[in-house]
Amino acid sequence: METSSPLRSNTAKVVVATTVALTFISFWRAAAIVLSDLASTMYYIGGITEQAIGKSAPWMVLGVMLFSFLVRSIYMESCSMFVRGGVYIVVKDSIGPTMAKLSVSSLVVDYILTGPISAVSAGQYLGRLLNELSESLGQHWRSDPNTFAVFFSIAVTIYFWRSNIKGVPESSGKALRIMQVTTVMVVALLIWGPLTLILRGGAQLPPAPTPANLHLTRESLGWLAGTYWSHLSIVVMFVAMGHSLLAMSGFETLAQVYREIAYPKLQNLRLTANIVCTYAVLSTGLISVLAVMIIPDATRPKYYDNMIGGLVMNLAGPEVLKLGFHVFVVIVGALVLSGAVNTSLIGVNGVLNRVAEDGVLIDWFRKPHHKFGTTYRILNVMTLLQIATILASRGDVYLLGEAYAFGVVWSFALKALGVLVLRYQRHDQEYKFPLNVTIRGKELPIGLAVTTLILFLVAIANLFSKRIATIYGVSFTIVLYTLFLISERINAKRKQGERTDLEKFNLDHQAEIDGDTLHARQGCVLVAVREYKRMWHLQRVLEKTNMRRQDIVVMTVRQISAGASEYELRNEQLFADYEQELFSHVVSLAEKEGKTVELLVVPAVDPFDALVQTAARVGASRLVTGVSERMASEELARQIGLAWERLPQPRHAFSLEVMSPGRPSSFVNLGPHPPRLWPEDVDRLHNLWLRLSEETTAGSKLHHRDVVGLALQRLEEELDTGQRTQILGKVEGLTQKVHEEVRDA
Amino acid sequence: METLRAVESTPPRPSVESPRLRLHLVYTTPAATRMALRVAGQMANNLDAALELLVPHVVPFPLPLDHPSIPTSFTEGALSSLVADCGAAIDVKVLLCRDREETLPQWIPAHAIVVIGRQRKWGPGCFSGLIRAVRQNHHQVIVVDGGTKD
Repeated sequence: METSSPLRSNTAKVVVATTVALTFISFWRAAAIVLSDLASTMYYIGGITEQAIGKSAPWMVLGVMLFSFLVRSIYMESCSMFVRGGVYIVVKDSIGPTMAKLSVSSLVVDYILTGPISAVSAGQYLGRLLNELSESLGQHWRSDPNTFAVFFSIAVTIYFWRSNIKGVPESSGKALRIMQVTTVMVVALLIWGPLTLILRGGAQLPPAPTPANLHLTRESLGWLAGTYWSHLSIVVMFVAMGHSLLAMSGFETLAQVYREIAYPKLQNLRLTANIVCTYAVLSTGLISVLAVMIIPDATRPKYYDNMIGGLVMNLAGPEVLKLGFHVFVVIVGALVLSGAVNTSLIGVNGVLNRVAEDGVLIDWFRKPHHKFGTTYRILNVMTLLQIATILASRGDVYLLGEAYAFGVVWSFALKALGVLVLRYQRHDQEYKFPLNVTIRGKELPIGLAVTTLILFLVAIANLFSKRIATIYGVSFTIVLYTLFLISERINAKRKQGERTDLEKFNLDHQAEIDGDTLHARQGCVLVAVREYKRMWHLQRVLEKTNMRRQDIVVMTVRQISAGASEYELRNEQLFADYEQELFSHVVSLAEKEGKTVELLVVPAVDPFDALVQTAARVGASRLVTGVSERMASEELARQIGLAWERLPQPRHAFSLEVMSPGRPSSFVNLGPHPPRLWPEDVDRLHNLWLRLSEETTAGSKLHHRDVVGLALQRLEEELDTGQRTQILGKVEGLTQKVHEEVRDA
Repeated sequence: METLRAVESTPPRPSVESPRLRLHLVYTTPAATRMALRVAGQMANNLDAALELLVPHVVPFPLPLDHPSIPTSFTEGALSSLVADCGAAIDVKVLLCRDREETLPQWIPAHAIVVIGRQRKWGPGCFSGLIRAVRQNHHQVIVVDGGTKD
């Protein structure tokens, strides 16, 4: 998409244009981007869950990481319908704007808390490392880890607030590098940990996560403590899962990267999600198990806020090596967790800007900074909320984790519900959550329904068991929801009748068009579109075309009256709302396939002339069109053929492909081309060649082409003789026969 | 036949340069770019060359690529002020991208002359990665050193 603004200085012409340089990314890079959000939880999830549910916690974390494969399928199904579908879009489209506002509120709560929990956790790791270093060096300096974490996290938050105000970007390549370093750390832990267990002669596995082994404290049971519900095993299991679900936080990024994943998109999304989930099982899941197995029960509580640090210091090996590795772990943690703080500010800014575009937030929030142009008011408010949260937590990671779960679980639950509802509203899912049973022609999405139910039960269990999360989350959600509601009413009065769901296009007038001005190589495929509800031919071209070899140009003809060409047409005359809507659908289809297209509007009196002239000018090898409702495909081909004949010499030869849904395409070659002979004519030609070779002295010097040449020469001559009428009658009979055969077939 | 091009989202094909010489400037920082513009402006006038300023604008995840944190109108306004005193006709192209070093080489035609301004020769602001990425694509790179921090 491009927007442009021609600006002129006094001295010289200056044209400034903005272009989206969309580069499709590999599944590895996409996975790195998602993991840079998701993997940060490994630093604090172990400690938080063990404090809440006891020594069985690692199994629950591992279980949640395996459950993430099911959540992966929800995201895959939603992405197969919405190329740019985050939770807000999915819920808005399926359940409606009210639930969408609630879902986006919980997402904002999620983002507001991602910053503090990540920064405080990094502060805890760093503070405790400094204490250990001081102890190792025989120094008496010690800091209170909680106080240190508060100061450190406020400093980190202010640093990223400042960098976001200035609009300093981080490239996606950085995420890949950070994940490479993190992988080194994870691999080292997964080798060194089991080695330690072997050297120590083994260790006990954490107790199985059965209701009997789950030790829920009064605090972790919340309002359920002492009630009938707290004795029910199933309730205990869901409460325990609710305390562990936090491990999946960051999955929403999967929906954000989908638009930019390379072709074949859905296949690559599956690979991305599988890499993410497997990595999470191996890192977050297994490291949590190793921590409980390696760190002695007596000392483990003192490592609840830096579990990986504790794991490293309890590994087998020389102290210096362990200390060195501990420093490395803390550096990686600082990188990953600081990245999460930055992402939380970028994310919340993006989400609120997105809803503001939908008219759900008043424009006051979007006022750009006078020097840097960023939406500083949103950033200021969110940073203040994050700092207030850090101060209120007093550096306690457990407290923050409890509150954080609210946004995470409700975002997942509402998203799953949205996808489930869409099963009954839409039928264009390219991927479906597995386990669907069809009874009497009605599909029952059992897998999706059960997963949605589990997420809702966990969310409800959290609502009653996590007092802090409920009070914090519900208060914030109500405040945000009210703010959205009021903003929406104010904006609705201002912007009645304005559409915001369409792409914005830059209009670049060209008196003449050719391949260079379009950035399309010779031999491109030119696709003619007119109705956005009838674009199966474009869909097929997008599926079939190898972009390394051919570019795709999509054109539509804006029909004008004969006199209009005498006057310069205004933008609105050339590119009306209909063209905008049409091209929005084209862009959406192309993005879904992960392929780029060039768009073209050609104003013309005769659409057939426009199609043929454009194909010739851009040097297209193929012109593709769908069958017309008003014209038979043969007639359509004939009209285009006649338009080709009207082209000035030398005429550019290309083929015309007319596509109809559910039937093979019909091809017509325009311009001189070798014919595709019917099988019986090939046989006839061969027999004639055999006879002539034997009956003449030409022998091996006679070729099939000579026979065809002679036959054509005779036909040309006979057309000028008395046999003309007879020949024309035979031609008409021949075409009639072919037409009947095609119709019968 | 008049036509109207509506969308441009792919880089131009790296083919033969147009007959008129074209100098490509790469935006780094305001101060360094201003200085590079002065040098490139003089070169363009002397060589009767066209001037193009490429501004790779990185949009971080999770923001959608077409929704940068700084509105495009603001960026375009700031850039038009920056290039106003250049003294030569100039096309400014803001490229919304995810990675500067990966995107930029795709938007510069083969064997082009590229001018890059930088504030210092080492440390932050030296843009060594960017210069290396452009050089790897067989372009002739002119590095203009100096400039004060804006």
